[in-house]
Amino acid sequence: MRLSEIAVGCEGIIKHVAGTEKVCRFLYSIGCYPGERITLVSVLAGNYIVRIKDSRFAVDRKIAQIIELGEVTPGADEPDLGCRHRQASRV
Amino acid sequence: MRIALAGNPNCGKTTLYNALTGKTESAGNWSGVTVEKKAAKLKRKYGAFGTEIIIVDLPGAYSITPYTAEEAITRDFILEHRPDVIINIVDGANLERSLFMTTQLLELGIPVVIALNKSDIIQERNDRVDIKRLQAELGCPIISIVATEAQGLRELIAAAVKAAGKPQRRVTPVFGDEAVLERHKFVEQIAARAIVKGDNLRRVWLSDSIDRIIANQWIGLPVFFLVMWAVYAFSIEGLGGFLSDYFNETLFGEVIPSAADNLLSSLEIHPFLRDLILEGVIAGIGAVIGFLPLIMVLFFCLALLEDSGYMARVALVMDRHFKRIGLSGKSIIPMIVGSGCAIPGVMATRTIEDAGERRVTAILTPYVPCGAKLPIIALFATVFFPGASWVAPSMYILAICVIIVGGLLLKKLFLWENTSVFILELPEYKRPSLKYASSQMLRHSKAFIHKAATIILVMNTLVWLMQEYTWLLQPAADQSQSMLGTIGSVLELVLKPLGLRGWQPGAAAITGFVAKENVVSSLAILLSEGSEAVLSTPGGPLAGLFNPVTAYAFLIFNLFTPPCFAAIGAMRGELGAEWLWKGLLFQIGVGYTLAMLVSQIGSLVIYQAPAPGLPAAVGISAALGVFLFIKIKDTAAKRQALNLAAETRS
Repeated sequence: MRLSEIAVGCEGIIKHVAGTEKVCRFLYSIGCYPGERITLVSVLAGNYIVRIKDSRFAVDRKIAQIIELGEVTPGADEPDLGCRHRQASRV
Repeated sequence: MRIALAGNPNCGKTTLYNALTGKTESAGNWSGVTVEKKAAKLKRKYGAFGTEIIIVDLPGAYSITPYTAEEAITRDFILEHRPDVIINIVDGANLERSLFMTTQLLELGIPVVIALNKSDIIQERNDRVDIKRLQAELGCPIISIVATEAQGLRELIAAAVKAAGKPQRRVTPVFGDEAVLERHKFVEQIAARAIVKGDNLRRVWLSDSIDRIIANQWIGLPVFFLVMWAVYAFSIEGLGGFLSDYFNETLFGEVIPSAADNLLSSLEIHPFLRDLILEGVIAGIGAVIGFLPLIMVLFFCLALLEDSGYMARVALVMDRHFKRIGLSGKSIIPMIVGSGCAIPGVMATRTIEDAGERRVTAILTPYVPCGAKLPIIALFATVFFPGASWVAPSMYILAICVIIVGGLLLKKLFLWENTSVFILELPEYKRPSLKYASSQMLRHSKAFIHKAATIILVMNTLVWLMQEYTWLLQPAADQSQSMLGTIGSVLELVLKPLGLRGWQPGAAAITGFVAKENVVSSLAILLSEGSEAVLSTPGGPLAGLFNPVTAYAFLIFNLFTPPCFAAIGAMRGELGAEWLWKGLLFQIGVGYTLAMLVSQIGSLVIYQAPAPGLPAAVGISAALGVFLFIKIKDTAAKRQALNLAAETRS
């Protein structure tokens, strides 16, 4: 499942990042690499707000689509959000 | 001895640099504020070490394997110049991520000292960091500091000086550039052993709730407009305007001129010199310095806003709108920097890695009215629209519209596809620091006064001489026969389609390319003769040249044609010669056309009478329309051909 497809509040383990070498390298350097946990905090103004390690990043849809996640679970760390289901079509 | 500061964006590098050197560099809490390395001497209070110590502030990066141009600066500097010691600032709020770069720095063979910054946040979150253990794992000294409070800096410098030049025993393995994942695993393990996480949920939750309103897809943009409106209305028509009125009318209108007059008369100096000083220098500089309070209030407000963490959200909100014109949220960063001064704004386009997007952003950034254009806005707002609070904000809203339409046009005119992606760190909201806002305010006012006392002073003297004398160096019987008068008369022809009369507007506008404040000071000099009234009084001498509509058009002309020469130089640096010319032509075209349309259509609508030069304006509009039509069609055809070629290839 891609990051762009999971519901707000869910978290997943990154399985694979499918971008160009440059984009991958940058994502890796901010902590977004296979094996690391990533939480979708919200979707704001068309951008995906994610939590990676201790920081928040806004990434656009293009990036959210290349981040492939393994097991996706309701986020335990975000008590307020739960794992609400979101229509897949929402941009 | 040279000490380099390196670390992630927003880890507090520039704050530490300012504290160590006493400088007041702008320290934004988002990436891209520092795009060039800066160097300065260490303040003496941190200890005398027998040698001069230079602190070098490098742009922030997440990794020393470069992704954008400013990250390459960090790596190149360290490899080429080999500083004696690196202070690696590690963000206590993002410890694990920061250590990734630390392990890279440790491989370079230069001694590293870690400054564990934001140790107050670590405490607040109840995180526990085992510093001894971390030191042992990494093999370098770690000093806890709070850069914003200047805590722990003495110890940090002492440790850095002690470590400098001596080989550091490496305890971490060497991974090189390629083994990124292995490096991450290694860092994870170290972090797991040395850091115990506390509870951070409440703070984060608050940040997210605010974001849901401020960065909302529907109300994010209106909120941004409202905030900007409030800031500019307060600075230009509110408190700042109030203080400026006092400066202009009382201080530079009465007190200083009469005092100077008395002084100069009592000294019995040559009348020529007396006139030069009174009508040239004091009238000119006074007209500009009068607006100092306004600049101070504006930069104070902007610094507060930036420090709170809001500007990163603006980039987030603007991203989707900018994507439609082929830009991205990244382009908003140079533009916000450009609201202070276009030069660092244009330079900040370096953080954009897509070449087309970078170019277009560098061409569009000068449209954001910079601090130097503020006096022009304020002058025309007070003279022609007294009491109206919409004039100044309208210029900024117009700037955003021009940027959006301009971006669309550039996309249609030139062939490029945006391939860049948008990734931006969102710092947590925090209470803005009054200390930081005050230091930014002082920095900008110092720069403003410095400019007035140098470049504007020289220009004013020149303008005064040129309006007093003819090309044959004879005193001009009539101002319009003076050197400036003849130059202005040529420009009058060019400005006629804008509904402008007289040679003075053109002459003033041309001096604006040296520094935009000169538009104000030149008008003051040109109109001060034979008129006792102060330039900035409603219905004053300016009313003889403009009516409200043409005044507004002249304002647009000065704001949206190319910036001052210094900023054009910065554009050249980022764009190269060929694109610089395209960019300048574009800026001239947009500024001129917009001013023309406002003047002609405004006159027809408001006064039911055409402004002078209507036929010429219609002719120019038609020619421009035809040119754009042909050029856009041409580009579209090229694009199609390129797409076809790409399809057949694949």
